[in-house]
Amino acid sequence: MWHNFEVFAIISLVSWLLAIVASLSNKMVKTANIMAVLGTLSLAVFIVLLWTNLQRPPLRTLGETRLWYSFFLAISGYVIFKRWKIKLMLMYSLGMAILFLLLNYLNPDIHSKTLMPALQSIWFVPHVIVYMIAYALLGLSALFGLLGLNAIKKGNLKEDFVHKTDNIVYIGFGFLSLGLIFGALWAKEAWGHYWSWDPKETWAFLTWAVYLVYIHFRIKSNLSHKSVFLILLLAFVVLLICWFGINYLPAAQNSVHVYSS
Amino acid sequence: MQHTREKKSLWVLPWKYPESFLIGFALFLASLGIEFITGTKAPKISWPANLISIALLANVSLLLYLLSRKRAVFKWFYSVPASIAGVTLFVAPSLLLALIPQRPSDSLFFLYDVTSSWTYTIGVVFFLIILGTVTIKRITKLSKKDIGFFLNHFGLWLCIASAHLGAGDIQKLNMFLEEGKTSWYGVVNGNRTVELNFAIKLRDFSIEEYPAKIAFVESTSGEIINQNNKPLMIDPHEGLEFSYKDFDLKIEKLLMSSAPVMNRFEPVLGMGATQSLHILKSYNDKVDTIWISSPSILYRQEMYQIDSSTTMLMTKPEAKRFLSEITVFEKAGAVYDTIIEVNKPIKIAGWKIYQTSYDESMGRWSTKSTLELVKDPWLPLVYVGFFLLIAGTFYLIWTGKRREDV
Repeated sequence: MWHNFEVFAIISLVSWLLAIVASLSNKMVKTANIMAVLGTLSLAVFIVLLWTNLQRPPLRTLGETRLWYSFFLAISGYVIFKRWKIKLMLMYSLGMAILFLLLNYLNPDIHSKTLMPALQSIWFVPHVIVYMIAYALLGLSALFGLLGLNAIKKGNLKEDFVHKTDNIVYIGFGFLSLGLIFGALWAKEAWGHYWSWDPKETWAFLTWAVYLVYIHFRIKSNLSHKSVFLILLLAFVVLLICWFGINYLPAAQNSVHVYSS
Repeated sequence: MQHTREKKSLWVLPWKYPESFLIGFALFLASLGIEFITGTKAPKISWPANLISIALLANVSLLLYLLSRKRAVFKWFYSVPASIAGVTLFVAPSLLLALIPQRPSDSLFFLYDVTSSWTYTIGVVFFLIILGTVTIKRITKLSKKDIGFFLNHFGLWLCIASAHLGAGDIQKLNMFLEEGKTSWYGVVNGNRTVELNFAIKLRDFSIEEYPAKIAFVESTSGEIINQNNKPLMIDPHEGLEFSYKDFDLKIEKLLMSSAPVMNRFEPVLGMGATQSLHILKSYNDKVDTIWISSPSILYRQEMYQIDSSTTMLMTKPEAKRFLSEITVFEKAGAVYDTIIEVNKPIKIAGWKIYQTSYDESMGRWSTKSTLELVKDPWLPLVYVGFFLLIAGTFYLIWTGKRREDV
């Protein structure tokens, strides 16, 4: 079945690339929309064909999971774009979707590269996807934090900008919560308990909590905008520790999430 | 937007951030005090004390809300500063947990056994009281636009309350099975046995494997050769054609379970059987027949010296599934066959049963299988909390931050 992959992949790749390019111009928003949808549909058709052909959900190999990454990233990015007009998220999501398709396209080996039993779960893909989106949005919010600090320095910070930043944090926090819950639901199936203070869990919880504090601070506090943006940057540092940092922490050496080669 | 900062003396109502953090800090010190004076961990409560505690917590929140209508001081409990103090006190112990390797300990529980400490427990209780009060306050004037608020806050309350207070009711047992034998008891903490109301007979434990990869290795060092910066390995399947240097190779047969017979391999199922490949090698119209095999606990691994410096071999296979085929005998009379495998637990008589381990020294020939049995009566409540939170989260993603919240 994978031998038809090239055709569908190329349609998706080209459409998405065009969508990204078109989204750069305000006049071509319609083209961007059509192309984003077309690329996603093409991949959807391929997934359906592959599924019927394999007669099982295509979730068992690395190549198969990457199809889902591409598919859901494209959909989520598009929905966020439609709802919130954040072009950067459309570009990021489609860019990542293209990357995963390219990995499949250039490395046919991984089509059949198998997953270890603990990863063969319906929760694997949603868990990873929502974190990819959450991290991107919160990364974007950190970028806004830096831009905001710069604007304060120049004295041209607009209230609308601060509101936009908050909004990105809200959406990112939403995805972060989903990641945490999906992970818990998966853990229950795989290890017998939904929460076991695995170091990655602990740090994910801390990250979640810092953004939670940020959100509440923004509802009512006398904090200056400068402090607000600084908290946002601090929160992102915690997120980065959760993402990469724990590999180096003494408390985290036995984590099931430590990515080894 | 310029905030006007009014000077307010400490402890003059309404309490703001300084008071809130002081209260949080005082509770933290109090928890340390309790730990040092009593020298104990926080008690782990179980049924029915935990149910009573949850009802009590909810009632404390309700009471605080009712009191807030009479006395202004109680308004603090549903204020934003109190919420942040609550989250902080709840999360601070997790920071210790995140930084300090945990170990069994006789003292300093707040550092080394955080989740059993008074600090952690008091953090959770304080957090739940604040969260509960905030939720009740909002319910009293619930309007359509507060749905997201309610889902998120009540969902979290339900989740945290039932997860923490229900922890004392979780039962975990291990069941050690041997092929052909029937067992009807579980083992708690490695020593105490508990009789179950069902029995399990292990018919077969097996590991399904993926076809082992073909690798080209340097004969002297045993290192896998790199080609284009990637290890030269191939996932085999029957009919696959590939080439190495000037040799054309074709996989004639892939046997997943086989043993050497004379100079070839034959399908067998017995102990020590291994994967093998029948490969045709052609070079200048000359065709050779090759057999190579994966390592086995019983037989010599067949490899093939393809040229003076290179050996072609099959690597150790990777596991696809670990599974126990079992027969279940329930006390009520039901008898049935089923399979337990990693990531696919099954449910018997209220127990959720997981494949956890096997005799690793025997690998796929293990005749032993270890199952874990978990009973968590509070799980449905935690899950209701999860699903409220998921719904609330979608709401949050869709609505974002409303202007009037600012």
